[in-house]
Amino acid sequence: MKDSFNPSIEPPKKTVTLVSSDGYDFEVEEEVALESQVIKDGFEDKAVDDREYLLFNVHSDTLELIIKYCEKHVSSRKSISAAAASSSSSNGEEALKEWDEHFISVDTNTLYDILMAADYLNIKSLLDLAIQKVADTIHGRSPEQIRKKFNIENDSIIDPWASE
Amino acid sequence: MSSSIRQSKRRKGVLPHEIIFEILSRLPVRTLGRFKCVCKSWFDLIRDPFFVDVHMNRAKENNDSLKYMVRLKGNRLYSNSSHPDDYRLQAVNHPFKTSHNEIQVCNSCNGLLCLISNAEKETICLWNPATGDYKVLPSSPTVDPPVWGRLHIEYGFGYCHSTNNYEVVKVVNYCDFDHYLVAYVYSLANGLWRRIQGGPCITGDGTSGVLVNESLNWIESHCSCNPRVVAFDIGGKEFRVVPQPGYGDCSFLEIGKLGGKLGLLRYDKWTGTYLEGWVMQDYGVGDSWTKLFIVNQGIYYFTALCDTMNNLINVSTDGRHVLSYDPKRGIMSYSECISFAGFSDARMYIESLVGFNNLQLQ
Repeated sequence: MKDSFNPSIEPPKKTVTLVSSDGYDFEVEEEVALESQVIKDGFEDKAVDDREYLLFNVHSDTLELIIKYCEKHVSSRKSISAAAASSSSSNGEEALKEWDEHFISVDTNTLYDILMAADYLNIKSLLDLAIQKVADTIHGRSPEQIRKKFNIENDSIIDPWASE
Repeated sequence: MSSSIRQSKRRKGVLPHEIIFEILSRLPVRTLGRFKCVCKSWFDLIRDPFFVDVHMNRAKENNDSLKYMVRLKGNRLYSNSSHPDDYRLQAVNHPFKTSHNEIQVCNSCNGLLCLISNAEKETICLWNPATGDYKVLPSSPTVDPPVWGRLHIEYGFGYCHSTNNYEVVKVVNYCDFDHYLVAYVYSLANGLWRRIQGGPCITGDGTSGVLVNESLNWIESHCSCNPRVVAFDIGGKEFRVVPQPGYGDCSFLEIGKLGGKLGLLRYDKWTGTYLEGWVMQDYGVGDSWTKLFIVNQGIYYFTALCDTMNNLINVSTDGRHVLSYDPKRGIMSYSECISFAGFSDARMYIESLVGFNNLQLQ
């Protein structure tokens, strides 16, 4: 078991076990797991001792990143709302944006894995972040580079549009 | 074991259609033009009316994709660069470029701009500057003019969501004949002009209509009464009076769009010592007018603007500087701007794929 996600915060919180496609267990706090809409749907109906999710489509390397993202977002949300409640000024949202930008600056394969995992687990903010990152990276590419990148066969019979 | 799973996944490597849709809907028009020839399914997607709609709505939300079009004397048009930090203006090709006659640039709507050339005869054209696609409208009905009187024409352009239709509004005034007011509306869906009885008396710059919530708004200026805001609802049959803020007496007015809402500036043109900014929070509801700010210092030689950019409301300009209001912090600031000197008809627009073949008009 990978040991980096053992919660060490007291009092002990309710946890959920996520199992990656390659068989690793990740024990995460309930609220972190609930960032995934797929887990959230029907979560209450599940028995407390049966809160284990087998994620067949998510490799442990990717799951580790996904959990890191969800933990950061859960804790940031708390500190932002705490700052708002005490009406003290906070740059929490901007700091989180910066963190997101840094988080998603990964190589193409990792980005693809995060994208597919965010889609599979339905984590909307992460999916948006990954999609925007892909859009930014392909922005300046040629059609040939795009075909290669997305593994697309050239069945195009079309001239580039008339006005260009 | 782990590596074999990664390998097999990677070799498949094909993203689901919904994800491709989401990725492409975030790309600029120019890039999509290039990507049309990636493969047949991308070509079909980029032309699909639903995709065009989603892409347009995303562009509306994204501040970076906001562009403006300015006209330099005659018919030369310029727009800003797509890079947010690049303030240089670039010359733009447009449908009237070869005619060398003076043109007017109307308000924009969904990435389309309405151009009017009034050289020998009036020509109205709807144009998408991002794709270059355009459509010349059939001539509007001619007006039998009174024997004398100054002719004034105002144009406006808008979209009605419920009928998925674009309309061009043309208001004709003979300013010395209060009773001689007529308006014509062109519907893109049926390709016909219709006549609207009793248009308002508008003496703006010809393209002063402000589009808010599918309604075109103008300042009506009878010499006999205080200026007031009048509106025409796209798809409608008549003009109506828009409720005014609860301020007292006659003053000069200027209207504009402030963050999608109807904004109004009330000022004293002659002394330049008083300026009031209002915004109608809930369009059409008189009680929702909110006073944003008052400026009591001298603002001589300024033309009033009423425009939003980078979340600031640009209130007025002398061509070199802009007086802006920051609604978040509630303060006014004064900054140097891109030189608007010599330019007129500055129009904000978004880059969209909306064209005349993918409209699917009902």
